[in-house]
Amino acid sequence: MADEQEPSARDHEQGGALDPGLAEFARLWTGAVITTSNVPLSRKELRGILTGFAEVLAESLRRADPEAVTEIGRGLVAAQLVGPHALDATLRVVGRSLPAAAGLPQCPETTNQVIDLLGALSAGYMDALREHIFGQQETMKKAVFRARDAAERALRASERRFRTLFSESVVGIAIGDIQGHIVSSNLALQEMLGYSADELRQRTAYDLMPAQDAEDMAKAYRKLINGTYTSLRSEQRMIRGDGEPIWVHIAVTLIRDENGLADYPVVMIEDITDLHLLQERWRHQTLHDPLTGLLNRALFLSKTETAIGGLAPGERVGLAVFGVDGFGVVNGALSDEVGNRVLKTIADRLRGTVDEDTGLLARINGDRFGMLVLRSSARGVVEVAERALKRISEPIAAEGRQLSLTASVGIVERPADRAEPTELLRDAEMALGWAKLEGKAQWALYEEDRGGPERRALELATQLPQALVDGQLSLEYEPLGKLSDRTLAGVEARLTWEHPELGVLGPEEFLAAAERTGQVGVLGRWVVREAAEQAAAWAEEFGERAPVVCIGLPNRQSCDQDLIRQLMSVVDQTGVRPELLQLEVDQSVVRDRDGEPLEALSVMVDNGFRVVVSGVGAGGSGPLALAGLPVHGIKLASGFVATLGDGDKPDPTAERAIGTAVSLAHLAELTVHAAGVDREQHAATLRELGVDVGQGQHFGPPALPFEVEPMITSGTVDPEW
Amino acid sequence: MRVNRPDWAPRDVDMDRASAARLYDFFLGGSFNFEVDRELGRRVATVAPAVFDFARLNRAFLRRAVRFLVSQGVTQFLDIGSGIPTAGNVHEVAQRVRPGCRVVYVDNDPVAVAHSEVLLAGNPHVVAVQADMRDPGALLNDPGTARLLDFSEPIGLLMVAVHHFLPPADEPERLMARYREVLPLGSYLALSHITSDAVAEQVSALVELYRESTHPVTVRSKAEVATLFEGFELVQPGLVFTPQWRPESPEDLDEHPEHAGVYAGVGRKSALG
Repeated sequence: MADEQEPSARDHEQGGALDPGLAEFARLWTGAVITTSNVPLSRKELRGILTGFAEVLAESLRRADPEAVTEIGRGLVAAQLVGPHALDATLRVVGRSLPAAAGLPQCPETTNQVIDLLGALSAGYMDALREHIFGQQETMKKAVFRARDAAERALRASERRFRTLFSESVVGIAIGDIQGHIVSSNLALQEMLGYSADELRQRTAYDLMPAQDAEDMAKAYRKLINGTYTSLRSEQRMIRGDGEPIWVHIAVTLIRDENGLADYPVVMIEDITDLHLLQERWRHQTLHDPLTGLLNRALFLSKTETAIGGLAPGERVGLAVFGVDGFGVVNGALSDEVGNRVLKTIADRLRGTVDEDTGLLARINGDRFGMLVLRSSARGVVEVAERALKRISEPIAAEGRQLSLTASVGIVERPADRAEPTELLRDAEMALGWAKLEGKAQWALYEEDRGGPERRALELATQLPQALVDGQLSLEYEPLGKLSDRTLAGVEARLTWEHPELGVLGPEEFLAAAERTGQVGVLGRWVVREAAEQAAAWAEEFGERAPVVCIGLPNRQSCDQDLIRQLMSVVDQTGVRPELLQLEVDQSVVRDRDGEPLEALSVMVDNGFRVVVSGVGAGGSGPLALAGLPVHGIKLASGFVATLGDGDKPDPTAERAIGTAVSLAHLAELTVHAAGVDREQHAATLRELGVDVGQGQHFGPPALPFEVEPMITSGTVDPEW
Repeated sequence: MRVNRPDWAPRDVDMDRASAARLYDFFLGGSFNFEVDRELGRRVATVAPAVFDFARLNRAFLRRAVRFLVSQGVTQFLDIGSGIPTAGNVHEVAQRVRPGCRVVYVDNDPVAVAHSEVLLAGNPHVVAVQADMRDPGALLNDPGTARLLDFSEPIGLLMVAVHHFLPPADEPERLMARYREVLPLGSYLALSHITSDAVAEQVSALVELYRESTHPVTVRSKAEVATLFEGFELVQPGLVFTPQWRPESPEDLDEHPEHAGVYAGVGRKSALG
């Protein structure tokens, strides 16, 4: 170090002849002081130095000249003999042993000379020691200043970083005190909550929440403080300054002091109102008819069930289904707009005839409306239905015309304890059919003996086996394309029934009946076999280019114990490689009642099949709920894709929601498919959001096998013919 | 308890509590300390008067170990827990024998590091780095360390009287494995550690008082200290009390080396390690 000087005397031992008395004195002196101080020297090195000092001391004692001795005092400090007892030990050794070692007689004169010498030695030592200590203290001051300066600079830099983060963040950030008061807030938070910084400062976070949320938050916050929770996240409501509720995601982090005690909370708040609204809108859309705002079929059935469950024994329930007579003609002859106007008007008129407390209304499908009447009598229901028919028959103004339309209605009425919602609806629809057959614009009451309750379903279902034999059923293949470059990514098998009387029926028209009557097992097996055979044929012909064939499993079949056995036997018999079959399971059935993933999923995966969860985004479970499923991919529901809207620009909330779903899926290393990609605009958006594969009109309609083959050869959904 | 502090928050300069580095300086008779340090230091000395010898003999071990390593051809040193520079610093000892020896001083006490910087200004072969030995990644990747040390040549790793600041929860063995890993073959570890195997009463009194400082102390037995040398081959005379480690003169040894209170040893990273 710069301020530590080299010992001023060099190793003396090589210096030649040395008085043995002085040599012994130096040894004693070394032994006396070496333990008093942190001397960075070996004993031998120190003795060398002290031997040199001893010679000077002896000489000045003999000459009674204490001047040079002052320098020796300084030299001791330079040799780092600065410990508290270093001088003390030195004075004692020098006073006691130096005169004899220097060969001086014991007499009062010598004593006086020794005292002078010790005085000079001490003076030199003290002078140097003072400088030594001052020097060290000076250095230390510089060091402390430097350390504080560096720490302050680092602190300022980190404060700058934090301030930037705090002020620029689009996430609302609040710093609170331990009681929950908002001490400091950023602009994003002030804007989100509609309060100024000062106004927020006068409030606690709890003041900004509905009572129940505040209570839950306070409870969780206490657990955070006492260490039960390490962090706190919540999705809940907050109330803006203007009274508007918003939905937020809140994350609370507790800053602890150096002793680990809770110091203050930092709260990050993200406004997720848009996302929440979008979810609500889906829910509404999936349960309500967007045209008329009435319940849709599914919600009608579920609300009917609830309503019936609330009835007392002996009470009765009635259900009517209205159908507009000749609606297809109106729609075809005029325009969709007129048709929609008519349906809206009829919905409004039906609303006017139903008592909100005792009845429910729904648009069942097309031009059919359902009405539930609770605590009814047959006579009462008929009266309501007649009233409604009368209102419907009043002229409807549409596009400058006055339309006169009639409706027919089928009615079922029975004791609540025998009323099962789907049966009620089916029977009422059957009665509607009778009403229409009997001349329209009238009502018909369902009668037990006028056709078995499952007649229509049975009719279709009983025709199924023969239809299979007759080859009325066939599979079409809807192309799947990569969004990036329209490469053929597979095909999806779609069942169609060319009914000799009813024309081409899509699966939605007879699968329900088949599910009811148990025919779906037969159908499902047939589809799986047919698709597997096609996949095997393609594999043989096209080798590596053969497309993956997707098969949507009916819900009932997904849970079927026999499913795996069926699949394996099909694989055995057709020789198809399992990875060429992609099995799609609807998101509503991927978990069992306990919320565990269906065991069948992992068995399918283990056996080499590709498994995809379909219907994602429609209905209850968001993409988060699919985390941890043993599958290869997800398929976004066409309804989810449709939320992107018809505009030139995608609906931003929908875009964000789909983007989130895609990111979550990709995080879980799942491929993402999208169904219902009908518009180029949607395809572009989905491509940007990272969706891998799409199907829908944008990629071409379902096709027959011979139509698919050019796609396989060219490897794209746009083959050259 | 370790404080949960974001990376970007600077370490405080705490002048209100005694620091281990300044206490050590006080016990060595230095003036690089404050009243808060001296006050605690005097109380420690009252109940554990041997502490002055602990410090002085430990410092003397460091000097002998550095000389030994230079004699074995080591020319670069990593001194972790170097504390406040004082008489007989590693670079002075090493450079006196062999000019050009390089030394990286590491301490987690910002004042100790600033102190080194003030005193080292202008010495191109020496650098002071502020880092925590519990974060080997940051310590080894510090630009200062990287600039001065050549990890393809043997390095003298000095960890003198520093492990007693690591409680078992810090897993010192695991940390040592990490340091050993990066040392080239032929490198040396010089390490000393306070123990309660001897002068137990004074040591436990000392431990009690150090709780008030910024650096509480954990003592270890000989066997526990030996595990810190795993992967190193101890050179003669093995793990011993500081005065027993290669004394330079018979007079430096009295009949009670254990009163030095500190175990010391030097190990070599051999191919077997």
